[in-house]
Amino acid sequence: MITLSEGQKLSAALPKIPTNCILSKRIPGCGATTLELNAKRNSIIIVPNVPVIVSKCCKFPKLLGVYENVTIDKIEEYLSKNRRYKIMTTPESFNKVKAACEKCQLDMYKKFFLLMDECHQLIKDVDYRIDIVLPMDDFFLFKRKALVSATPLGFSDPRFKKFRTIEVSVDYDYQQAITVTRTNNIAKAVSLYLENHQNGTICFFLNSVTEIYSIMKQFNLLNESTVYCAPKSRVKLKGEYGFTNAYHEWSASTMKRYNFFTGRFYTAFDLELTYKPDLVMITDPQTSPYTMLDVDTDCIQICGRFRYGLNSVTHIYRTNPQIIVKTREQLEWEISAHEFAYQTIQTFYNTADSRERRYAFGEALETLPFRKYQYPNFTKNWFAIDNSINEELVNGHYQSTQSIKDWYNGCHYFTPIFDECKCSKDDDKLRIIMAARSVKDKRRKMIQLLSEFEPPYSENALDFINDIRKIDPFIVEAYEVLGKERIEELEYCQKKINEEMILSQRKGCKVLRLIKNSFKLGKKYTNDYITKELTRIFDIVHIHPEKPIKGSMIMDYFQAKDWRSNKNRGYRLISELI
Amino acid sequence: MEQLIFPDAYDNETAHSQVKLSMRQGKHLDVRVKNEEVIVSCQGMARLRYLVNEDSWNWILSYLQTGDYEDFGVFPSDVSMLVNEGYQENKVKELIEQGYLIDRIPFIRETEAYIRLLATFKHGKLLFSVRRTDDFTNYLIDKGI
Repeated sequence: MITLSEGQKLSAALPKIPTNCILSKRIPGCGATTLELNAKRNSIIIVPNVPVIVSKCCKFPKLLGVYENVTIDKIEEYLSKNRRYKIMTTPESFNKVKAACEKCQLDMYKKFFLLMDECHQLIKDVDYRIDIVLPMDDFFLFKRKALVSATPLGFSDPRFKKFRTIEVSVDYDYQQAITVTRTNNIAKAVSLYLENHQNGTICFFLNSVTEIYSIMKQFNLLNESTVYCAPKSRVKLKGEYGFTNAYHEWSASTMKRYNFFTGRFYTAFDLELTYKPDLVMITDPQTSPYTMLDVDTDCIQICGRFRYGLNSVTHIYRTNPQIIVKTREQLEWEISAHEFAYQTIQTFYNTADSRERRYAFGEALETLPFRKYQYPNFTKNWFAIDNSINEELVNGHYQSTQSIKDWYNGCHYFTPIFDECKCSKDDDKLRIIMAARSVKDKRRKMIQLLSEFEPPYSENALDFINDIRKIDPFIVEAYEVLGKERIEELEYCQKKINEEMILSQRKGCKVLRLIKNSFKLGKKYTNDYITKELTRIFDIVHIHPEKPIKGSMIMDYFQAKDWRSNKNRGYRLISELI
Repeated sequence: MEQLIFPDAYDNETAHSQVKLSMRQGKHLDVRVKNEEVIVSCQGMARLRYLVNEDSWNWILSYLQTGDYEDFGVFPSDVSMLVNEGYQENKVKELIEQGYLIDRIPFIRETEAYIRLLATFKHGKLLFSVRRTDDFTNYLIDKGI
């Protein structure tokens, strides 16, 4: 355990970050990244987001930042012109660094120290950024390596068992006071907050550009607001909402009275201001599950962005009593059961003695739930497993107010004050303003473009079609299988199109795929609806079921909970069984 | 007596597994055809040598057209070690007779020793480089290529 005093940085206690360790900083901003940047050795530092690279490159002129649009040639040029190498890269761009080292004939694994900064992001982001774990196989090949985080999450990957954890604590009071406001009306809570904070700068952290825009519009903040978000979200704000004051990089000169930040800005970069703003974090699980914040990681990291402190910190949240709460043990057991089922079917596939049996088991493998816990090369993705467990545990906290209170009370970083914002029926709710162009409109346009090409396709045509496929593989496959006329007859309805495709393709178990197409996790279905839908599905594929169809049959395919509402009875679907 | 050292046999089984993995990932394959072997490239994999027999050739062709990667009945180790010089030419003719669309890369000057041909499919391409002979050139002209 290393203990720092107030104002002390990690460099006072450690000459350099040791190898094969997980450095648990406990509080952000104690200078771990700076320690490595100043260390007298060649370093590659992998950070999850671009803003921190931009921020550090401004402070360290000899640092090479590698992200999108930085070419291998540029990295090669840097390697040939310098003797001491300091490279900071995103996980997705790590392969460019690797390629440049190979071209310069540098043994990267021996010559460089590899630091994985904000390593908790490997688990948090892997569900939507699968490439964030691309460097991990290379990580273990490095002779000298370490991971750093102020909020590390436990890794289940057995390769980390050899790593020791070094904890960094402080001997002064670092705890942050926070007002935790529970509400059943986000608009009301935000309105009251704005009334009570008429002066000063306010920074909102809310991971949904749709909700951000809705808040700005409802409270007439458009002209006094700046949004900091990912480049694609910036395009969405400009193209679909007509809001142009959005940036994908932070700068003090672009800040206004009200500033909104999405998830891209939760970690790692320094929000250096000469004043202390008010901070508001908003969580609305009923409108968007992406806004759910992990108190033990996200909230601490957000507060840590403000290097010079905060005037006040508030977390406004709603709960969702419909969320199913599971323990870690339950989640681990479920995943191991899925893995066992997968391995059993894999064995049947490997020993199949006819083409038909091979196809049958192969198709079963593709539909099993454990597939999503595998890398593209079909090896086990420990980070995806950790992500799934962590996400379920975080979601479970937002089921009740007491759970949130216990969570904050158990967190070392915060001293919470709990508040409640009640609303009446007459109070306005947050009016969510959806994007001008719906997904249907965009798909209509894509189909129009695809129909311009006539078979046989030229190489250029195939390349163009493959580019569209990268954006929306569903609609391209639908076009190839069903054709433009049939898609128009189905009115671009995703469920109907999916159903037709399942029936026309010889791919996967049709009944299971049709059932997964009709029934979605988290939703409630009456017994009546379940019976009618299952009957319809079995009729379509001409299968006579083994037992009479009734509502409880849904439990053959999903883990489900009984649900009742007035006169209706049914089930709420929790997770897939097959 | 001098001991004969035989070179290690090429590990075609591993090459086959790698090609199948790329197919399972839905990758777009660039397949350069040589004599009784192909060189497979795709995103994340450059120039993997894969020895082919009739079954594995049909398997690759099936994937390029349909995306079906199932390899039941394909034995990658069952390959001929004899070099068949006319292999590429025969395969091109086979594809033309079966009605596949083959494009020829045109010459700027008539001094090229090899004729390069390309067949594009939904899931990849086949590239041929066939030694130019009068017979083959006449055949292509007759077929309108």
